[in-house]
Amino acid sequence: MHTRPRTRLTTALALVALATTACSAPAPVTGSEGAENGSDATSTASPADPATSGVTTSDTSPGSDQEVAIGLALPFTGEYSWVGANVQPVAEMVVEEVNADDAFPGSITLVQGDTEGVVDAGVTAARKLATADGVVAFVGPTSLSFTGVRQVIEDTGVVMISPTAGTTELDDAGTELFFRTVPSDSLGGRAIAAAIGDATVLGRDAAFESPALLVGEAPALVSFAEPVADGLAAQGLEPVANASFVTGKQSYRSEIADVLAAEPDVVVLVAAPEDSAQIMREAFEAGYEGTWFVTQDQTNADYVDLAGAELVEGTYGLVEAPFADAEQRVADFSQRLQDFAGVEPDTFSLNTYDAVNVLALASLRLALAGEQVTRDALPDAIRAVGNADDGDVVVTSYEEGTQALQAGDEIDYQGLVGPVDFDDNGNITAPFAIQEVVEGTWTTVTTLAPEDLDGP
Amino acid sequence: MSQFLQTIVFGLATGSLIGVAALGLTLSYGVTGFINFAYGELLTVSAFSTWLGVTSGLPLVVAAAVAVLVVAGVALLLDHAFYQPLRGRGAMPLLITSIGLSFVLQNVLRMGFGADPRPFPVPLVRPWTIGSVFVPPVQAVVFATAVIAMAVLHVLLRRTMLGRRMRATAENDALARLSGVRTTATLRVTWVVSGLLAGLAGLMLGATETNVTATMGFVFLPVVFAAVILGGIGQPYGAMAGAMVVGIGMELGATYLSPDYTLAFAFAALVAALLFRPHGIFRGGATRGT
Repeated sequence: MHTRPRTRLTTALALVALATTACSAPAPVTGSEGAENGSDATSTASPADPATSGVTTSDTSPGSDQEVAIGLALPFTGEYSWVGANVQPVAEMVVEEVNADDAFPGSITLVQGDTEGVVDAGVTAARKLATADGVVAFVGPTSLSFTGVRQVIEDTGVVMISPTAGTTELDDAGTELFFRTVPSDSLGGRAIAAAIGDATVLGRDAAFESPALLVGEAPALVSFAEPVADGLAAQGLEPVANASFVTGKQSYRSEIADVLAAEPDVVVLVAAPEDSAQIMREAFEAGYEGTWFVTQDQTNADYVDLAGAELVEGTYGLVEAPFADAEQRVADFSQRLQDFAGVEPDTFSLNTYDAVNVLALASLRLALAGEQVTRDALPDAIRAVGNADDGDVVVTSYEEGTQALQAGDEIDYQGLVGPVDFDDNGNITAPFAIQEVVEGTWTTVTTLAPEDLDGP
Repeated sequence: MSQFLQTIVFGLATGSLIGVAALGLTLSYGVTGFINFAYGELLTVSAFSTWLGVTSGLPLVVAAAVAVLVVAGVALLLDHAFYQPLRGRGAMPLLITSIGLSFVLQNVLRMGFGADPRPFPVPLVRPWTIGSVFVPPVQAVVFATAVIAMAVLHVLLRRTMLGRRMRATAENDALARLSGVRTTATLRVTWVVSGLLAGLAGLMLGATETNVTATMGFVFLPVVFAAVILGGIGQPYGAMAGAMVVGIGMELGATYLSPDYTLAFAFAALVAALLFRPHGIFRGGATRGT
């Protein structure tokens, strides 16, 4: 009888240790085909100091097989785990297609680094990917972690090609290491402003007259505020309220009261989905009957489920649109993704497809030229396959790119989200769609080409 | 003036939510003598159970009732499996165990329901307008539920034999045992009552926050602690008063100073009150002997 309490205490303490371990354990490292390949992914990467050498492959003789490690520096846990969940299957699909093709002398592996959608964890994950795992490039990070990951990239020379980071911090980043296959929030902000200030864009009888901004205090969210305000000013509109809020609070009633006191007819809400759902409900309960305008994080079916279809009916949302010329290719991609992972394309899927294809084609271009795929060599190779130059063969897939490169041609990769022509700061332009929740489903109202938005 | 009244309405609702949670926590402390850090997870279990019930096809009221009972059962189970064996070894082992259980339960919930937030199934209703003040029906329900819960607990503690046993055990369990009180059974009942209140508070928290996450109770717990300490730990009536002070203080601070520091106002109210009444608002009132 006297031993039972001790046994139970031991059990309790063991559980405490288990829970603590679960909370603090580093993010799992997986290979391109799941957890079982995780050890492969790390073991094939060079243990040498990649930060100084820039060489990350296990074999340094040109032309021989190369093992190229690419890090998925994205949130796989936490509030933004959906980003990692959307990106990973697409990246795995492309890598499997690349590895199944004999053109590349060696193989590409994916290594997962969980940024948790926050700066600190992002730095830790990126540093591990760059040093311990020896990746040559990151697919990622998100805007949420970019502030911290930026320093790791600059310290180690790892190339970043983000399918998710719309942050305006990247607009004029001024380094050759940053690329992204998602358009800047600057462009997205202007798209929102155009839709609000020009009635013809949304096919409304009249434009909105009293817009308000309600923006969460996080870098990725604040990034949207200025472009929207500037865009509205260009439309001759001054926000009647421009409020911010601390994210993750139990209640936003005070912030909502401040905004509603200005009697807006549309509120641009830039927030995480969880906060957005709460804010929209509390505004509803405070009597708000105007329109909402949300950004990419909420313009998806999951958000309708979270907030409730009744609450979000009539809400407008911004989302990246496929390239006008890519309709059939998007359909083909959707089918392949369905076959590969059993999922439909979601937010950032198309951007990821382009990001990983560009990396794979850049790696192939280097390998066919007898060069090593290194951090130093990748930036020029990425520009060479992405940007249009005289005499380039236009390709729209890894397979087409392989044939052209093997034939000795230079290529211009045209993606699903756009031409993928990187400017000096690694930015691309791409169209946006404005969608509206109609009977519980996001429905595209209009598509805005980048040239319509007068921005980079 | 209308802004002030509006803020008071919000404060009463917030205080009510905190109050019900604080009642359950302080009640368990009063009888067991330790702060249960896993209490926040009981709120979370309630919210998830309700979500699960409704998505499984149960009407909201039935799912909520089941959820409250589930939480009472979980509270009893935790006591039986973890706390009861350690009783008699002082408060510290119990405290540490409860902290561990808090993390375990969070991770179990995360494993079971995932990291994504789930919508709490509360109906969407327009506010009632009274003069220049609007009252969201959800907040009115939260307030009414809190008043009923407090009244029932008052009757239980003051007008029933069970309440007398609970108070006797809280005052001096050894003496209560000598007087014929079955203190072990009384402790179990206390856990059930504490669990019922936690279940109720979890429903109110879910309805207020509208989303359910694995950490929602844990994040909410510091505010509950503030109310409990402000009211005089172990004092049910003090917890009610403390909760109202904290709730209204948070809303007033958010409205008139800055909404960015709502939690800071809760603790500012706590510190200010304790400077003048170090033992809490209801010192000497007693359910817990010292």
